[in-house]
Amino acid sequence: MKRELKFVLGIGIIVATVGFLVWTAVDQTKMYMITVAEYLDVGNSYAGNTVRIAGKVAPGSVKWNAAESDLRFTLSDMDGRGNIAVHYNGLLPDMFAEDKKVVVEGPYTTDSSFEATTVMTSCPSKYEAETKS
Amino acid sequence: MIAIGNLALYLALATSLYAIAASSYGALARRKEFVASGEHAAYATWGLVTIATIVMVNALMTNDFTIKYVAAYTSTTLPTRFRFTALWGGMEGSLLFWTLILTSFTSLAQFQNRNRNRELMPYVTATASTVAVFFVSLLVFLTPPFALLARPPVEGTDLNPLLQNYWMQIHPPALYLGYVSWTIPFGFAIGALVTGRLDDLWIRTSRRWCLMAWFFLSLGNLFGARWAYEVLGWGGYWAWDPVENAAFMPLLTGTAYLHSVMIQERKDMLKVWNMTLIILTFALTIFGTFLTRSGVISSVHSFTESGLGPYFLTFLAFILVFSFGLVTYRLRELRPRHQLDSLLSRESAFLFNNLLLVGIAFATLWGTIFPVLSEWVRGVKITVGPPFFNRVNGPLAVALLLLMGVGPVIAWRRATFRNLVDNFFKPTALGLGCGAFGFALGMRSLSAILVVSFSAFVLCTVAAEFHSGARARVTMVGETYTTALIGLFRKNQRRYGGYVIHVGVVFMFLGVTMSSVYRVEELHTVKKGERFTIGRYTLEYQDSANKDDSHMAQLIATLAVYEDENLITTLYPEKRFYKRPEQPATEVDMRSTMRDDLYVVLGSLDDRGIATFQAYVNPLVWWLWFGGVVLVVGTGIAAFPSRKAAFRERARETSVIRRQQA
Repeated sequence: MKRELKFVLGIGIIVATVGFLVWTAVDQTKMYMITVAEYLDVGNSYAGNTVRIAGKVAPGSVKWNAAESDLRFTLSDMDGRGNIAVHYNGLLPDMFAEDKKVVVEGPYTTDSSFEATTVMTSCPSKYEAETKS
Repeated sequence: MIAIGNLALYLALATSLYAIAASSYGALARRKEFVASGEHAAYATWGLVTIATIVMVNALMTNDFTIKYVAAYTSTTLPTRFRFTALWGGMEGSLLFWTLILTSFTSLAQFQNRNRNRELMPYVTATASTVAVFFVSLLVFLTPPFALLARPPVEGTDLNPLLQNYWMQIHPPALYLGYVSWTIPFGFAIGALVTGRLDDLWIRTSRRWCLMAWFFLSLGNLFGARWAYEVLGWGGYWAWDPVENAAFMPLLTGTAYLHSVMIQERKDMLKVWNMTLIILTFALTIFGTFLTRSGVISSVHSFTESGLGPYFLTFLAFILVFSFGLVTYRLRELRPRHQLDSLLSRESAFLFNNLLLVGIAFATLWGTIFPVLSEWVRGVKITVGPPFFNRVNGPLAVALLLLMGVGPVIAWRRATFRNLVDNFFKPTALGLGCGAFGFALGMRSLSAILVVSFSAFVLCTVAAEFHSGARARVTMVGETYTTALIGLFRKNQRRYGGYVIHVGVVFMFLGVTMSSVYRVEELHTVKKGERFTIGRYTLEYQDSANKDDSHMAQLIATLAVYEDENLITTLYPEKRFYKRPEQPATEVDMRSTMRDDLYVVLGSLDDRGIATFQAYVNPLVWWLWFGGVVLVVGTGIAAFPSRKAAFRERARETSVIRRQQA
């Protein structure tokens, strides 16, 4: 009985550790996947969290300073419900272009400009050729 | 030709359905002629799927753009070697290729066991044919590979340039071989459950299949990582992307299975657990295909949002309900005959190693499907990125590394204090010493110090095992030390091959940890003739060039690399613009050494010749790939057919037959 108890304890500790790690890590690393409209909606608060905002690059808004690898552009809602000014420092992603769908990632802020830590373009499709509409 | 391909698939559906019915009926009613007929039907399925594949490959080779698939993934200018790649470049082709491997393996398993395991084989045939029915149905009803275009184009869209790469030629086949091989051991497990032959026969018979599955799955993961490293140009090789996770999870549960079966073979314990692991591993391979094919979870791989999702989920649910139903039905007979004796024993080290592996698999699964779960439960789409996986799996993996040193050495049943001191004093001292040495050298990351220390510990236990094994042979057989050392491999391939694999895994641990913790990443914008420094390297941007042909336009920068003012190499990172399909791409250049990789990406290059470079120094990443090579060698040793094992197997079979006759 005592021996079995030891094993139950040992297994319990591992299971609990895994559970604990998963639980806390989700809490600390979670990112809200939202649209531009959701970001701008004052009813939502993502304070203290990272957000991933999906939208498209507004035509004519891209200012790229190659010498400093500094990018500024306007991210528009896919359904035209608002715009966000985005600032990013780093390499221009390969597929980045005006009117393209992009996802920006960064800490939620109430400032006028969103500081992106990552700008993701939808990758070239791997399994299906792009269908021309 | 196309008609032949379609007809072959329709017939394959019929033959695989018949194979299920005939083998199941034949086995249950003990009618040998039906069992034989079922096997023949499975062979026929293989032949038919082969015909369909040949038709497809032929179309890919001859630019038959009337077929939608061919028009989408090839062009007249695509080199022949990439035309095979086109077979798995798209959904329909890859499902066809998958089915080809599955039916080939079914036939191979049937042929291997034509005179053996006659009791279990009908169920292997039935199980594998059920999977075949599923995949062939997809091909026939949902994603016909030979769909035609009303107006065939003159030129095809061409294979995605990112896939026109050496690693992409071998990564998907390796992965598919790994995924699909698990079907055979799973079939044996189902056979054992249905027939009630729950001893370790099914495990012994399917051992080499499991090793093969594990081997190809490892290779598939490594090739994929290598491809990402060379082609994607972000300086890393693993991003915890859903598709990567999909291939990683069955590898984890499969590794757990390969270890825990040893306990069943020796101790007749953990039977339910082993059944659970093989079912989970197989289910995860199907889940993996589902993830890659359904587009349910968005990924940088951005697959097509196909309508296949529900079908895969239904099939997956069927597999789980059916197999765990059988396990429940046999639960009483699966009870262990022995109990675990002590926490300090090899049995429990294996048990804990299993729990950790399954824990990592669970955490990976949780993180992968979290966006879907959170949307269901709370209506908010929340995702977790690489930090989540590193945070959870990092500590679990480090604990696993420690157990890798403990498991093979600690005594069976119950380790006494004396055993522990004898076996672990030196490795522990060496591990602590290496950790302290690392600290003295300036390492301050806890995970890096632990990994260095535990790696030394594991390597030392492995070395001690080889040494004591060889010494025993020297005294007993009178061989020289070297002969004895080689003799060890011949005497117990499985054990010593396994140790070699462990050494490879330790190298991978070191490579992964050091390259993640001590990676240096810098962005530099320079004019021609200017220099910049990263780590111990100084790079001089010397020249830029433009090239333009019908295939692509290239911007190429020339960087001279100096170390201590000595020119050591010249790197040529590129920016490419492919013309068909139109798409920019980054062509990384790197200098790889055992110590570190200098990895340079050309970010941008303007008209005045000003260039931006993203440069990385990734320490010890070489050891990740080298660890892969060691792993291949180790698996080769462990799986290579040995005369002695074959003899033992035959002896065991004869004795079983004698017992049955008596």
